[in-house]
Parts: sequence; C-alpha cells; structure tokens
Amino acid sequence: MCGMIGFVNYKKDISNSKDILINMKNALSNSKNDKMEFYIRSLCGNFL
Amino acid sequence: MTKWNFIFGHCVATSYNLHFNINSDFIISFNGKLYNAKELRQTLEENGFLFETNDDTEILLKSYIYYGKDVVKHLNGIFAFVIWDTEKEELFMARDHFGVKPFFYTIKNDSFIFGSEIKAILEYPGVETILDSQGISELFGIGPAHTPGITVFKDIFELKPAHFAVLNHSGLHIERYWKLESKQHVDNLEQTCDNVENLLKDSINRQLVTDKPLCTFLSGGLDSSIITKFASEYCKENNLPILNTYSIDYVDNDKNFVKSDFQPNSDNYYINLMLNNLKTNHHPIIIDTPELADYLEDAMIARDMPGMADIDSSLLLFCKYVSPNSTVALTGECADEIFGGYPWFFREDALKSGTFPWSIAISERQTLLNPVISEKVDLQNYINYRYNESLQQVEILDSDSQETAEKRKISHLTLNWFMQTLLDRSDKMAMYNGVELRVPFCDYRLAEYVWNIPWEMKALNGREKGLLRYISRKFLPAEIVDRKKSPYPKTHNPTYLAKVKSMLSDIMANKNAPINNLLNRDFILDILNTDAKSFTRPWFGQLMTGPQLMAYLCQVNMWLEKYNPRIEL
Repeated sequence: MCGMIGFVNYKKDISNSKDILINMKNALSNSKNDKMEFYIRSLCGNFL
Repeated sequence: MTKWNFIFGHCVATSYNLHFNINSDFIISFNGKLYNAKELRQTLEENGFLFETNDDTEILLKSYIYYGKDVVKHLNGIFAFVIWDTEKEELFMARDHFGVKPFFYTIKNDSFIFGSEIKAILEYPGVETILDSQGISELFGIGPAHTPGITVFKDIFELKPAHFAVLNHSGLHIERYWKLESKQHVDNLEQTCDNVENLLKDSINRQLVTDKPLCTFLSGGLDSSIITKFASEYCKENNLPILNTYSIDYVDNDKNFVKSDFQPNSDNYYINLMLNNLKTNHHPIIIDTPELADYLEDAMIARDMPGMADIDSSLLLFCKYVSPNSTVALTGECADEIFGGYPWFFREDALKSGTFPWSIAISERQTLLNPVISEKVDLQNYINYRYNESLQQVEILDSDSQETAEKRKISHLTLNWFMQTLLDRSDKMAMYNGVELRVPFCDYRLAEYVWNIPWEMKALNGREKGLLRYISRKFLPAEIVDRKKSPYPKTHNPTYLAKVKSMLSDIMANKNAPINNLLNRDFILDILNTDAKSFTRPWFGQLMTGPQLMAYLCQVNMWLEKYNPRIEL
C-alpha cells in the first residue's frame, strides 16, 4: 500500500513533528515494508 | 505575513508510482496514474520544459506550473495529489473525476491534516472518532455508500471527486472542476457505435501502459470480456508476454450454487469460453470459507468502516493472491453504471421507489438501531434529504424523451452513489495488497459521451447495456454477448453461513459487546434465530442478504472495538 499523509499549520513550528508523520504513515494499510519519504518546511528551515 | 509550516509524507511501495518532486518553488506528493502523460509531456516540452525523469509526478508538477489550477482540466487518470506553491503560500489539492483515488482531511488546532486513509488522520494528536446523528445516518441509512464529501466521523471529510481545493491565508476554498453535462446527442446509431468503440479502445490501451506486471480480472461477463479481449490483443500487437487473467470462485460453489434473478448462472462456463477464444495465461483463485470470514476484519480496516462484508473480504483475498505476480489489474467495473446495466434501470418499482434503489430496506435499517438511538435518529428523513439533494443536480434537457429524462435521474444516482461505493471498495481492497486496479469504463470522456446517448439507444433492443452488447457482437462470442448480467460472485457454501452465525452468536453472547450500544439487541438475536430471514430485503445492492448481513453485523462490532467512536447525539 502507498498513500499520502501530511499536515499544514500556519502558527506553530512543526519541525519536531516528524514522529506524528511516521505514526500516520504506519497507520496506512500494509505500509510497514514500504519506504517512506517526507518533506518538512517550518519557520526553522526546510528538511528533506 | 505569517509563514506556513508544513510536513508532507508518503510511503512508497516498490511497485507503485508515488514520489515527491521538489524544486525551490513547488513540492508535490502524488498518488495515482496519469493516462495522458505522453500528451502532457509533449505539450510541456513544446513550451520549453525540460524533464529529468519519466515519472508521472514530474509531468504533473510541471503541468501545474504551466496551467496553474486549470491543470485538473487537462488530466486523464486516477489521482489525488497536493502541491505546495511557495510563492503563493498555498496548498493546492485535487482528486480525479470519479474519485478512484481517495483523499481525506480534517482541521484541528490550526492544522490542516490530510491523508489517503482516515486511519492515518486519526493518528494526529487530538483528532477524535465521533459518531453524531449524521454519522449514524450515514453508516446505517446510507452505508456502505456515503454522501460525497462526508465520512461517518464528525469533522473528517473527503475531497469530493472532480473537485480541487486551495488552502491559503484566506482559508479553505473548494471548487468543482468537472461534471457530466447534459447535451443533445446528434449521432446516429452507427456513429454512436463507432465513437463508443473508439473511446473504449483508447481508454483500455492507455490504461494498459505500465512497467509493472499486468493482468485483467475475467468473470466471463460482458464487461470483463471486452477488457480482456482488447488487452490480449494489445499484448500480442506490442510483443508483450501473454496476458495474465484471474478469476475468483469459492470452494464447493459448484455444488451449492443457487440460481436467482440477480445471479442466473455461475461464471466458469463463460470464463472457459473466453479462454478458448483468447488463450490467456489464466489463474483461477478459489477462496475457502475460513479465510473469507477471517478477513472480514481486514476488509473493515481497509475501508475504515463496516462495508460489504465478504463481498469486500473476497476481493481483498483475491487481490492478495494476485499481488505476487501482478500489481496492475484492469477490471470491467463501472460498465453497469455507465451503460445502464443494473436491474433498477428497468424495474418500475425501483424507479418509482423515491429512494436509492440499491438500499430499500429503510424500515428494517431503522429497526436495527438501538431504540434509544432510534428515537433521536430518523434515517428516512436523512435519506430523503440526501436523495432529493442529489436529484436536484440532474440536468434534464427539453429535448429529452420522458424515458431518457427518467433514466438520467437514475443514472445520476447510480454514478454518484453506487459506483462510488464500488470504486471505494476496489481501490481499498486492492491497495491493501499493493495492487493498482484500473477501470477503463470509468474514462471521463467515455462517460461524458455515453451520458448523453438517448436511453432508447443505450438500452438497444430493450436489453441492459444493449448498445454495448451490440458493439461487442463483432468481437466476442455470442454466448458472452447475450449472457444475462451476473454480479460479482459470492459464496453459496453453507459453511459460510454457519461460520458467520457462530461469530455473531459469540459477539452477542457478550452483553457488553459495543454493538449493543448502537444497535437493537433483540432484532439482532432475531436475525440470528431466523438465519437472517427476519430481515426480508437485502441490506445493500443485490447480494447482501442472509450470511452477508450477519457478516456485516460482525464487521460493525469489529469496527466499534477498533475505532471506539464516541457517540454524540
């Protein structure tokens, strides 16, 4: 299974929210063995 | 100005095309497949765009850069995607014409959260599972269908098919970009046949393009036989390996098959007719009762709600067995919706029922609610509201005959509600196993053209899908062309009834089982004691009777245990 996940916030710094994204990814059906890619842009800069 | 913060992610199976494409100004996450990627790329190259990959994602992003929001008007495919536009400081999201690919979202504590599945959104801190009056009405009044844009959970929404959304400092703006427009049909029968055949062939050929192992699902019915015939020819013409085909059946179904008006014959004879004709590399998949019941929970989880019981779990298992060898499958789904193949297109009582004809057991559904809840939730009112709201969207032309006008209404309901339910089922059960199902009959250009064909021509010779049969006669065996419509096969094995009856009995033996809080315990015990004969009409469609109703009730309890929704009335 593959799927999209993500969130956007215009108030908070979410650069430390990668764990939430990983939890969301792991919730996707049959995703345990799939590779994950993510991209974060926050007030603190961009992370890939 | 406040800067936006965002975090995108996606998981990528090795068999599937879903990637980020990042440059300094745009970031894209895309789930799906473009069937007109070649033409899009050519236009972009003619306008100075350079490409680093052969990936649909790069083509989609550069199409957005070129066309802006109008990009959705140039896409043919199955897709859900998000694009972050740095200069505009906005998130652009879109979903394909018929909603083959899912897209859910919610807003919580200043965050806009999105995902391909509800269960992923539920992982975001603070997002709750709340079942309010609308959710209960959706689940037990409309379900397993759903009102476009709405989910069973309060404040969790889906982006409707054929819609895009923009999120920026002004808020969330959602807009429809496509619908079936009623126009007068001017082509004669011969021209109509040529156009339908060309559109269908073009759709199939586009959807056969893949670098993944390919197959078709073959039931020996008209629709899957057309797809398989053209796919087989395509493989031969393009020096591809012999086409793999798959069919589904159940252990001992040959001994236990019971004829009905809706299911007049089993598939095997007709599958063999096609195999003798096409010589494909065929794989029959035979499913047994224990696994069919065991996978009811997986099927519920795949949908994030109780669904079509073993009609779902069998497809999930079917895809599980297909997936080691083929990860892209073409199916004949949606032909009945596009070309008018269901019995309710012809039955006077269904046309005049004043409700969704695949879901007529409204009084039984109301009785199924826990009496305390039933006092506060009026399913009939909710269904009437949604039904009438939907019918108001139908465009009837002055030039339409009375019959065409009536059939536009039933077609509109079927396309927007019933077909969506089956597309949800297909995508979720298949993607659960990493299989990508493609539905050539769902090509929006084909649907646009067929929408306006007068009913007298669409139901040529008074037959369901008469026009499609007429066209197919020149390339399919007559017995396939004349075969009466038969739905997706279900098990007739009595061991399945025994199994789900035992499962439901075990659930009901526990008076604290969550199903008791939501549904009418006495009625469920009555259903158990009568082998579901006390529920006199199908729960949904034509197949969800007896064992399927019991299996559905098991799924309801599984869902309540896993998702633990808070009831808020």
